[in-house]
Amino acid sequence: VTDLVKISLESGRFDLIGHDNPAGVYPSLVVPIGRVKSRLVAVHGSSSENIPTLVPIAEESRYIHHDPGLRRLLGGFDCRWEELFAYSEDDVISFSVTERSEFYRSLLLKGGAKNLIRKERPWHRLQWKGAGQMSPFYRLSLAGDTKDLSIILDTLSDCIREMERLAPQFSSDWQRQVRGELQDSDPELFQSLYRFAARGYYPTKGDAATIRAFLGLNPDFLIPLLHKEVTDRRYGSARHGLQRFLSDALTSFVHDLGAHTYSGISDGACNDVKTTLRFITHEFGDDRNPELYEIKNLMPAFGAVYSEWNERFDSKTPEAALYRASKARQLSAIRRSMVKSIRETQSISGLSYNFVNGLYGPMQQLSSIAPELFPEMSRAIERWRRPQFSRDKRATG
Amino acid sequence: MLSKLSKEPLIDTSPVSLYRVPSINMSKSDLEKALGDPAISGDLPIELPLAHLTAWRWLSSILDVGSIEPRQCKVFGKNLLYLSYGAVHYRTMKVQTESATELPVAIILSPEVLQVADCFYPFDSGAVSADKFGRKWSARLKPFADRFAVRPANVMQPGPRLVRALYGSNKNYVAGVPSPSSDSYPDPIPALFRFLNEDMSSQGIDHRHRSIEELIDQPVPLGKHLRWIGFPRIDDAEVLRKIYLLTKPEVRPYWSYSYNRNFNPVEIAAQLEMKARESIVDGYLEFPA
Repeated sequence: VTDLVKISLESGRFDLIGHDNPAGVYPSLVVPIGRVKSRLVAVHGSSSENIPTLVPIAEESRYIHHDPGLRRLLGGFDCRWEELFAYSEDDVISFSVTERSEFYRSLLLKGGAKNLIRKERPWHRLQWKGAGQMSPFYRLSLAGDTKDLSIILDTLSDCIREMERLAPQFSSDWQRQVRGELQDSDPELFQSLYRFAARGYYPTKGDAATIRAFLGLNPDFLIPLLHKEVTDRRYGSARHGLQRFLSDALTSFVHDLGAHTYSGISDGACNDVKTTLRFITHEFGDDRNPELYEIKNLMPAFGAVYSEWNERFDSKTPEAALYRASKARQLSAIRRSMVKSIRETQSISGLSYNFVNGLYGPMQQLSSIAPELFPEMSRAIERWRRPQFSRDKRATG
Repeated sequence: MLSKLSKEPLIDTSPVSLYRVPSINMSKSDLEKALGDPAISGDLPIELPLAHLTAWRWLSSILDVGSIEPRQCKVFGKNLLYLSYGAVHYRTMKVQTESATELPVAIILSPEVLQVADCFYPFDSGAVSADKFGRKWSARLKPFADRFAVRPANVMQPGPRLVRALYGSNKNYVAGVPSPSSDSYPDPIPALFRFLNEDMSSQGIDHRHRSIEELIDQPVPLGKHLRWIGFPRIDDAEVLRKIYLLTKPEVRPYWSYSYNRNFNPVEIAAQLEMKARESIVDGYLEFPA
């Protein structure tokens, strides 16, 4: 009881000298062991406070002593803001608690290590062979913090498969427990998972049926889902729909603006365009597919440049026209960046046509309000509405 | 993966015995005599399950052996197994380890284990022996091993009787609320009541000192007695597979907690305590006395 007295960090500097791994296996989070004013202490985080707890431990306690090289490498370790993760006994790195989510994501994401090395993040090691070294259950412990839906669903899928293989008697109870935890600890995340799965997300390594069963997707929900899947088949894949939106509808929109380079558009119509772009931005923001993060960030910029395009709407001077032309070029450049980001992303598996409908819907409304201003865009919408596969009876009428 | 956990020797080979567990043929302790008071005999609460706290590092060995084994106890100088009556109570010294830190694992056992009890104490005997409750209480409880030992051979249903004498009901006991009516019972129950009722939070001691502990000197087989288990989410499928091999065809409830932060084991143990209550212990509290 009283041996759990906290030691204040104010009493001295914390010198990291080793770690203990209560999990017993590597790779794992480990507990920093060090000295504060010659007292041997273990450092623990706290769920309620932002300050670490320094727990005195016996001098004869067993732990992994860091060699001089590792101690030098971790020399700047600050136990107030950092934690330790060990790949093995002698390969330990520190990470900032404020970057926990990003760090776990880098550990668990497929190809995450490569991305990090490319972005020159300091914490990743070339010898990291991927999260496959870790038990799926331990990965699940970490996955929740990433808030990354694809990582969570992939890991869940691995865990469920492992439970079915080794302890099938406990599988349904285990799933109920984890589902309850997810719902209680982060309802928003659970709803996103639900929406994500309902939109037909297929984990990279798992099967959708397992995930749907885990999330408790019920028949009332599944029937309209199946209907949507039929629609998807009729109009092509959602990825195709997204590409088409970016390369056809949005191109036509910019093209139509070009027709008004000299005149600009009226204040009322301009507000309608802004509203339309806000809806589209919201739709990108609402979809938590991590693969679309780049577009999610680019879309608000697109809206902002459009606002600048029309800020001299009452001016019909050559200068104003030149200004609009330059803004139109910027809009085209942003659109191209969005298309490029899609092309570079190998797997966008979490999209459904619901999402694509959400992008085209506001555009269709704009085209019905001001068809004379956006004729090309209206034609692009018409092209999109035309079924893609003529073999489908409904498509041929 | 679980099998990779260390198989280090679990027994400290250099014990320094301070006390001895009173043997059956010893005369009755003060507390045993007091518990014989007729006022304590009626309407005893039902027997509660028992809790054992261990470390994740050792769980694999425990499940491989299939039983929880007594370990060398420095306080009494013999092999003993410590169990908490009715609830999970975490204390670092109860998790016998030489490692710097541990991830707690809570095991709830059926009340049948009470039948093989060696001895009961109405408080944390290890903390008393180490003077953790301050000099005042060390002096007043002295010599605690002889005065407060309660042996099943001398007292019928020692667990429920201690609860009745000190807390009135199982609900009060699990909530850690001593009963003021204890003051009217024979000595040393009033002294115990004052000890249990004292707010020691300024000394860093919380409600967990209000727990009855059971000492057993023989292994407890898990296949027969396991009722619930809580462990870190590191290798769930393998742990549960091993548990099922012991308990089949019964499928026992369990709870695995996320090990996503370097949390203080005390906080994790508090969660285990709460989950164990929800899953198992609260069910016993519904029974009337």
